[in-house]
Amino acid sequence: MKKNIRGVHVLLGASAVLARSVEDLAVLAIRGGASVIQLREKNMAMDQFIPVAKRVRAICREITFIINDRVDVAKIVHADGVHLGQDDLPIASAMAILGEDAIIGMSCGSVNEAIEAEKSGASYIGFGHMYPTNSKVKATPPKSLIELSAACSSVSIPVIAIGGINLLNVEPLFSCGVSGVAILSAFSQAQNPEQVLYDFVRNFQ
Amino acid sequence: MRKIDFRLYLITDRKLLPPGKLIEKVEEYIQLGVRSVQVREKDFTAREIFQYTLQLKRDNVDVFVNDRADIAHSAGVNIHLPEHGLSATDVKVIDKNMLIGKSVHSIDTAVMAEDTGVDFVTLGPIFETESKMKYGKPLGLDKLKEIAGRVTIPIFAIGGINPLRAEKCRDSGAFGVAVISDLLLAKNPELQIEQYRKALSSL
Repeated sequence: MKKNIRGVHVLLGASAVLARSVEDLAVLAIRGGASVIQLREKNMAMDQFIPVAKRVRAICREITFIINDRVDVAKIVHADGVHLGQDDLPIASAMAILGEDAIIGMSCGSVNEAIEAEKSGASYIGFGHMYPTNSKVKATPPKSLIELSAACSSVSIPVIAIGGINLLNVEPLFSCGVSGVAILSAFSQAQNPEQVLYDFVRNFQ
Repeated sequence: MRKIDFRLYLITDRKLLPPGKLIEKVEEYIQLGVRSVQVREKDFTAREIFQYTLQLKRDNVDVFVNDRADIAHSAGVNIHLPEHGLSATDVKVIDKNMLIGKSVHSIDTAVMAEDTGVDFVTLGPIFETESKMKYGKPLGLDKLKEIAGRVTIPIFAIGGINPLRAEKCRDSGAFGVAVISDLLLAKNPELQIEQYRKALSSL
C-alpha cells in the first residue's frame, strides 16, 4: 500500500538547525501534522548520513519518509521513496532499485517537465520554486500562480508547491489546485515549528 | 568473486583538463591499454556522473563510480567508496555483484575494509602530493609495506605516483597504483603508459 503524499511535506537537512537536531525536528513535524518528511543532505559524509537517515526513518513510522536525490540511501534505510531533481538519476533507474511501489517525486519547473515526469512514472510533482528563497541561489525567477495552475491541470498525479512558502504567502497556492505544499525554513527556523506546521495543516483543510 | 586483474587504476579529475576534454583523454588511455577507470567528479550532478559513466563504459574496462552505489548500479558498473562513504554491507543491499573499491589511509581502515567485504583498497598518500594534502603527512613506503603484510586484498598505492615510484610501491607490497595527474597531465601519454607498463609488468 502506498503511503499518503498529499498535505504538508517538510523538508529537513540532516544537520542541526538552531540547536534542534534533525530527529527533534522530525518529531515536531509529525506532531504538527506533516504528511511527508523529506530528508536531504549534500555535504555530510555517508557514514554519518546513513545513521541519521535510519533514525529519522524510525521516527517516521506512521508518515511518509522520502530521501532526496540518493536512491541508494533510500533503499538502504528503507525509506518510502526518493525525491529526484531534473539533474538527478532518471525515474526508471530509481524504480529499478526501489521497486515499482516506491514513491518517486520529481521536481519540475514547467508544464512540459510535469507531463514528462508523470509519463516516466513519477508519483507526485514538486512544482516551483513559487517564491524567492534563500535556501539556494536560483537560476530562474519564481513560477507564477498561472504556471502552477497549468501544471496542476495538466497531470493527474499530485502537485506539491515548493519554494519560499510560509504562512503569509501560502493562501493563493490553494486555489491553483495543489495537493500539498512543501516547506523548509518556514518550519525548521521557526521559534515554534510544531505550531507553524499545525497552522499550515489547518490552513490546508 | 571476481579477481582484480588491473594494476593501473586511472582516476578522473576533469578540472586538470580544458573544459570538455575528460572523456577524450580517458578514451585515449583506454586505447593505450588502461583497463580500469574511476569516475570521481565531486561537484557533478547525479545525472552528469551517470552520463559520463555510460560514455566510458565498455566491455574490457572496469569502470568505478565514486561514492554513489545507485549510479554505479544504474550504469551497470562498480563502486569506489570514499573513506567515510557507504559501507560494503550497504552497497550489497543495492547490488551484490559489483566490485567494491575503497579509499583508506591507515592500517585499521585497511583491515576493516577487508573484513567487511571490500575487494581492493587504494592506500595513500604514499608520497607528497598537492591533491592529497588534506589527508596529512605521506605514509611512505615502509608503512605501505607494513599494511600490505596485514591484508590479503590488493592494495593500490595513491598519492604522488609516477612510473619510478610505481615500481617502488610494487616492491613494497602494492598490487598496483592509482594515478590522477601523472596520467591526465602527461605530455606524452603513449610514453607514460609504456613506463607504467614496465614498472607494473602489466596494466
